[in-house]
Amino acid sequence: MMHWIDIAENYDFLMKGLFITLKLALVSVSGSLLIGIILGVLRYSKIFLISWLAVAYIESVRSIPLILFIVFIHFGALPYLTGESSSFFYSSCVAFIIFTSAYIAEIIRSGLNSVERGHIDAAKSLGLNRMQRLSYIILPLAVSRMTPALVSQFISLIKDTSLASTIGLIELTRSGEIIYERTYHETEILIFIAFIYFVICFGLSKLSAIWETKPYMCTEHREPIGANQ
Amino acid sequence: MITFENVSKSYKGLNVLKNINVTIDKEEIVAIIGPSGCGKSTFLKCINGLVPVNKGKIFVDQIDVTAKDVDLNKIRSEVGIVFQQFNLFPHLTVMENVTLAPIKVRKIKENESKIQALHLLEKVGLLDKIDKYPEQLSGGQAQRVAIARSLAMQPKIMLFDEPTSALDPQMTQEVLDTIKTLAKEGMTMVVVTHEMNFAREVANRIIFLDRGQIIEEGSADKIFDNPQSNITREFLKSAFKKELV
Repeated sequence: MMHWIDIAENYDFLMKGLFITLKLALVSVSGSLLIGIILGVLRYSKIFLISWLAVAYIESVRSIPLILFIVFIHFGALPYLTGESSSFFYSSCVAFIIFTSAYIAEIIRSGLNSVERGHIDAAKSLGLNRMQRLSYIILPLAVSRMTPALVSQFISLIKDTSLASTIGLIELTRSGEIIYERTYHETEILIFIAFIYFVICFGLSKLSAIWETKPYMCTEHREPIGANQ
Repeated sequence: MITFENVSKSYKGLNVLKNINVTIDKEEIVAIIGPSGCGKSTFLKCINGLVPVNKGKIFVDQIDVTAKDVDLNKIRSEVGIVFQQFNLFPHLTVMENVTLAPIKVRKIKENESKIQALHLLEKVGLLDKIDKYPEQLSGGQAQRVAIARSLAMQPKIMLFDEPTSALDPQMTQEVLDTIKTLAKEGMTMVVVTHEMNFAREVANRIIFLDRGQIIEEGSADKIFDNPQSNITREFLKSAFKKELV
């Protein structure tokens, strides 16, 4: 027989975990987006040293498992750098931001490269300087085209926040574990937790689909109307 | 207004422009004609520094655009260019396309810039499209917006790079009419075109380019009715044959 009553009885506890998960996801998504954009732009730079440093960061981070980052940052890097032990939440944010920003940077770079020569030439011809071209033309085009890839990266990140449970952060997954370690009814709790992750991630994915139907989103596939060649 | 002094340009060992010397005066309308791949577009894009040259100097309004320390952005804000593929910014509305550069580069107030944009869009006959995205325009409309966008910077010179090559005949006409209006207003213009009749009608001077060299130049009557070179004659024969079909 099923023990769904466990969920009702521990509802507040689970919601507290969900709140931590959402907070962690929000901070990590914003932080990694910000740093990812900066890294992506540096990677796009024409100055060799700058783009090389960005490549070095991106490639190293992408070649190391996320769990190592979380453990290493919490028990190694942060205590060593600050001289005191770090909070679970803070360590997890740092780890997720470092990890995800590398992926975001690659997405941003491919987005930047996808901007047609013609649009850049047009921006140049109007007298926009490099910074203006980047902020008003290249980045907006790149970011809007990269939305699907960015959203899927963020969905991964949201699911990956469950790894913070390994260092002891009581987010959604860990809250569930605490409950079923006591009641031994894993199935119900796990189904419930999976359902919550599904709702968040699927919702996000649907939201991005709405964004993608903006009128200008499909320009790259467009043939000029009346093209005669 | 525009002076080419011994300008050469090569791409990966291919000489696109060979020792070009030419002067274009204020308020002159020059049409550049010639076979595909003869260097017409490169010639045009050298003027606003989109294509860097290998040798020689180009002066625009007495400023050397090939100099190392030149402020290209400043020159580009004085020289409008209209591309074959329109190159409107797809994420901006028609209004935003037209007002972006005046606001950001010329530092004109947003309101003033909008009023100016309305005048220009009225001039090209697209007042009803201000809130549309480029995606929602026909090719001819997009190209006219592109012209308005360039004019919004109040350029001293307008360059047209095969502005009608991507358009069907009916739309070609609406774009050519817009360009003709500009010509009458005394704008200095350099037009790369395949439309021989149009070149003949608007241009004060025709330059015939072939394999990166100026083969012949002169008034429209001289080039079309009495071409001196065999290459020009052959080209015109085939060009007009195409236009008649």
